[in-house]
Amino acid sequence: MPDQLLSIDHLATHLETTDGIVKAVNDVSLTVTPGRVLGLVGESGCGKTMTALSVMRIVPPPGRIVGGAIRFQGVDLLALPEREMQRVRGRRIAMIFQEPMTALNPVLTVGEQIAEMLRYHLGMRRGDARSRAIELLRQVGVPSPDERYRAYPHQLSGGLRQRVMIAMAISCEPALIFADEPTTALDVTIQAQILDLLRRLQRELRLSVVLISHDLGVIAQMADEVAVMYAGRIVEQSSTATLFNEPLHPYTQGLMKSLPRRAPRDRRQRLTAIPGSVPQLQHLPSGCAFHPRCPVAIARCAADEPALKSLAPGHDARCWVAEAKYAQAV
Amino acid sequence: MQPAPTPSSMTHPGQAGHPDGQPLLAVKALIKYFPVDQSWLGRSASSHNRSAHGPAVVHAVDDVSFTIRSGEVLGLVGESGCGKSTVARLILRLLEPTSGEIWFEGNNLLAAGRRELFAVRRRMQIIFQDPYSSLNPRLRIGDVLEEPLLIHRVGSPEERHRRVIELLAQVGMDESALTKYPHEFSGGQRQRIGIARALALRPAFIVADEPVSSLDVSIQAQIINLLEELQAAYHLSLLFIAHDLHMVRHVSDRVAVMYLGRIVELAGTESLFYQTPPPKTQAFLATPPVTQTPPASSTGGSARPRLLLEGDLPSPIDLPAGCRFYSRCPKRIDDCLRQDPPLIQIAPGHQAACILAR
Repeated sequence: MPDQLLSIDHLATHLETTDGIVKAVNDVSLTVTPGRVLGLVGESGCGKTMTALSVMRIVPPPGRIVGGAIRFQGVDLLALPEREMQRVRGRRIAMIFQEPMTALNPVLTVGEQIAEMLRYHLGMRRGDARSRAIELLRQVGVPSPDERYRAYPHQLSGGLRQRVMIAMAISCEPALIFADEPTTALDVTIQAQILDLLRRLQRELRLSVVLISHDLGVIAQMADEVAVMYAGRIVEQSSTATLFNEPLHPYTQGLMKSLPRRAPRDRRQRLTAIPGSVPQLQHLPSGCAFHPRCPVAIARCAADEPALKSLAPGHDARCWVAEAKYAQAV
Repeated sequence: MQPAPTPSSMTHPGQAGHPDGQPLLAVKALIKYFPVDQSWLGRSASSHNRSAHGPAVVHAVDDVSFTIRSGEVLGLVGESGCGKSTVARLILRLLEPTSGEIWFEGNNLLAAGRRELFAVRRRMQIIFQDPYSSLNPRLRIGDVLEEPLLIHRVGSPEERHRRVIELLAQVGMDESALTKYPHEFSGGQRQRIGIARALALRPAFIVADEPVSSLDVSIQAQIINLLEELQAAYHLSLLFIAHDLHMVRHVSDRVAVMYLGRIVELAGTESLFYQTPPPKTQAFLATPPVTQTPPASSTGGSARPRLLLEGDLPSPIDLPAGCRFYSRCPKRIDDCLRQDPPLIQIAPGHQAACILAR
């Protein structure tokens, strides 16, 4: 499909551990449309970050991409020589990490780090890179950017550091940005600022973004489309409005029900919890990985693994029960 | 440790019982200042901030007063560094306050000597945020749960064993856990063990310091439900510390909002969340997770507009003059700079520290 910026097909990223093979990313297919925000939601260990690292080809050992294809602007990224991949990373696909303190270099000033990107990728001269870096700091709302250019990461607050990360990410005008839990390490009031900034930049610069988060609230605010991951697989995928109005997969439904409701408040009303705990990836249950925790599981769920199927226009789910229900309705 | 004040200043044990209607816990004008590190590593920061009034201090908790009734859940919210956890540690006397009073079941805890404090500590417990670092990795779960009973010399070995099994059952776990080590459990199960340990001595009051914020989303509801069940079953008083406002609203009878060491608003959950609040709380409440509302309808329905705070938290060392929130407040007026507004009653059961709220 020519109008897709990024298409991931049947991606498999495995980790070979002494305890067995961990299928961190298990047959994941995704597409990103230019100018849109794709939300990738799921709990810790579900494979969201691994998917992003696979696209960037920076999967840490013992992890390895063992199958699938990643096409970006028509180029097969997995077939690209490392030298050319370096021209993609940071230049055409940028990444914003969760913890800006560990993602930034502590011994370079933040301005130098942005300028370094501009000089390396765009071949800018020192002076030009410097003024452009200051301009970028201003664009992401860093107060007195001339002074902050000379600040080291530890001299900035968490919110300002994340702004610097965002400035670095947009510095080379990439076609795609991965934002991996960009607000999770921040205070609520600062979270709101950073989300606002991301949304403003996304609209103004027509950025394409893959937003990774465990927070359904953040996803609801930011994403155009959503993919829900569980135990290395995508279990549901649709537009954001459809997903929140009519979740099909019992896991998505459970996540939404387990959140405290808005008014009218009845304090003694229990939250609807998802029983059990997230399975370990090296000891996945048979059949559907969610079936031991699923309130509507049938015998088939323990035996066969369902496929991700389109159950309504633009709405895919990986669930036998939802599939049966929709087959009847059609 | 400071020398313990004389036991004579304690209430007589016979008067320790509290009549109904009296708060279980009363905190009055509590203050905790931490001196800023004077070593060479911290010198540049401290010399910059040292004023003519003496060495620099962090105003971690600055004149905080509140009460908790028996069986009541008080939510305590605020950004990181606002002093929430310090308040909790002061109440449990894990930290020594600079000044103030803490009354618990009729005892003045700050006047309590070691022996009195030892007795009081059976009645107040804490559940920590991180279920990984708060359990000793070298103790089996049976030993983790028996330890408080041993320290307080409760029961015979058989009675203690029965109590440990009973505790596991109360948090939804079975006997097979007894001989296992913490690393064999998931985060949610570890937090259950932490809750069982807090219940071991049948306390009247528990501090729950961000009890679910390190857990996976699908597990959080399990732990909140468990806490609520136990709270109701044992008529526990809870100080529930969190930054997730939806959770706080769900579990709390009343909520206190802290900002830079001060309580800036304190009210019943209903009136705090659903009436027009002072700007400070307003901004805090308006922040992201509008989770339950689908994006299509997120514009309508909400009682309050979304308010975006500018800037960062000011330094708790160099406190601004006047209202501490001035630099970030979207509704500030010149009068706000004139004085640091005290926490006063603006409606029955509703206190706020904002001159615009009067």
